Amino acid sequence: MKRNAWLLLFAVTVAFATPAQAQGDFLCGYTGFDFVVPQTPQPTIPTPFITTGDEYRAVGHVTSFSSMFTGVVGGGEHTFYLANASVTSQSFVGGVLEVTFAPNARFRIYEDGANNADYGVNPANATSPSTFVDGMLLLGADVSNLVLIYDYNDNSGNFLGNATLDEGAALWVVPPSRRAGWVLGGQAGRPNASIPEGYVNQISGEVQIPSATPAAHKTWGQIKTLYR
Amino acid sequence: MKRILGTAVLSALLALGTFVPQASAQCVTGTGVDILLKWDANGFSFETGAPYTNYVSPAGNVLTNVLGVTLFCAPLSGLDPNDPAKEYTMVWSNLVSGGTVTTPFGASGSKYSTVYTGGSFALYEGPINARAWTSSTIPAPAIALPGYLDGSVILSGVIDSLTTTVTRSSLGTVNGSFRGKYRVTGGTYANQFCAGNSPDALMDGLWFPVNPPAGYTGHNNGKFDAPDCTTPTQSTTWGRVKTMYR
Repeated sequence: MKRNAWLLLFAVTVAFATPAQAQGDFLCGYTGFDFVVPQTPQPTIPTPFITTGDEYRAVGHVTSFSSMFTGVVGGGEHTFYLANASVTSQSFVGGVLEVTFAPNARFRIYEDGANNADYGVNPANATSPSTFVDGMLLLGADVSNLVLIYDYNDNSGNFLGNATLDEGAALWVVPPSRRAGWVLGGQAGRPNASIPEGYVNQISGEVQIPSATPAAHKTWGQIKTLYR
Repeated sequence: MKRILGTAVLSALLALGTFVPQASAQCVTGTGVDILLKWDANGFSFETGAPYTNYVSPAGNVLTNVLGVTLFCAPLSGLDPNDPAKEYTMVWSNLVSGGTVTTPFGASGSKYSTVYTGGSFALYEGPINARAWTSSTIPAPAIALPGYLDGSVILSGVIDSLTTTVTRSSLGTVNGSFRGKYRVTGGTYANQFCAGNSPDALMDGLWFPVNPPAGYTGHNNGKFDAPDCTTPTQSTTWGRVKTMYR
C-alpha cells in the first residue's frame, strides 16, 4: 500500500514537472567532421563536394547526452560514426546542393577509455574512423530519409534524417515504444579554418524528437490492459 | 508491480531528460584553430517586431538568442560548464533582420535566408537557473531572459554578421543552419584573446525551426571558434623594409 502511495506521488510529481506542451526529447549532441568516399577530395575539394554514388560519412565526439543516460554512460571518450549513407540523387542549381540518400545509413555511438580519437588528414586514414569506432558500442540507429542541403551562396548547410534506435549496450534505457521517431540533424559548414585537410565540413548536430509528444485517446479498459 | 514501477521510472527519465555534457569532448582539431565554446540544442531564438511566420523574418525585426554553454576550450578551458555553484549563459542581442529572402532550389525545395546585423553578445557567469532548460521546459522569452542575463559579464563583443538559412527539402523536411562572425571587445576575460585585440572569428551551427517552444522561433546548437591570434606575415624585400623607416 505504502509503495502504491509512493508510486502515485512519483507519477503526480512527474506529471506536474512536465509542461503540457512537452516536446523536444533530446538524446545527444555531437560535433565533428564529415567526408566523402570514394571522392575524398585531394588536394582541393570539388564543387559540389558530393555526387550520386558517393558515400557520406562523419566522425566526431558526442558532447552531451540526455540525463536519461546518467549512470549508464561511463567515463572515457564518447565518439560517433555516421556511415553507409549512399547518395541516390543530387541536384546542384543556383549554388544550392541537394542530396538524397538510400535508406539504412547507420549512426553509432561508442564509449572507450583510450581517449585516442584522432581525425588525422585525408580520411579514411590510419586513425579515422578506426579510433572513433573502438571500444563499446553504446547506442546505434538506422537512419533513413536522410537529406543533405548545402548552400554555396551562404557557405552553410544542413542534413536531416529519421533515426530508429536499434542496438547498443545502452539501448535498454529507451523503452521499445520510444526507439523510433528520432531526428538526426546537423549543420555542415565551410570554409572553416578548423577543418583538417581532406574533411569537407565541420558539423554540429543533435539527435532529438522535435514534435509534440504523441497522445492517443484510450478507454480505461485499454489502459488497465497495459498493466496486466 | 515491478513492471509499473519500471515504466514509471523510464517515463520520468524521458520526460525530464536534459543535458549532461561530456568532459571528454575534444577541443583540439589539429589545425591550430580550435573551438572556443559550444552549446547543445539548448540555444533558443526569438524575435520582437512583426510576427515571424513560415520561417520568414520581417525586415526590422530584432532577434535575441539565449543559450547555456556545455563545453569550454582554451583560453576558457578553466571554466567548468557543469560547475555545481554557477552556470555560464550567453545572450545575443539587437540583431536587426534585413528581411528573409526566399529562393527555390532542387526539385521542389525552398530556401529562407536572413541576414541580421548590428548585434552583440555577452557571456555571463551567474547563479544556476537557466542551464537545465530544454525545448520542453523553457518558459516564455520574457520569463526566461532574466535567467540568462544574470551574473557578471566575463566576455562580450559584437556580432559583425549573422546569416540564418532554413531549408525545406524536396522531400518536405525542414532544417537550418547559421553562420556569422563575432569579435571580442570586453568582459573580464577579454585580455586573454589576442592581448585584447581580437580579430573576427567564426560562429556557426544548427538552426532548427520546427515545433519551437511557445514564443520562440527555433532552437539551435553550435560553437564559437577561438579567434586566430597569429600575427599575419608578408613577403617583402629589404629595400621595402628600409623604406618603412625613412
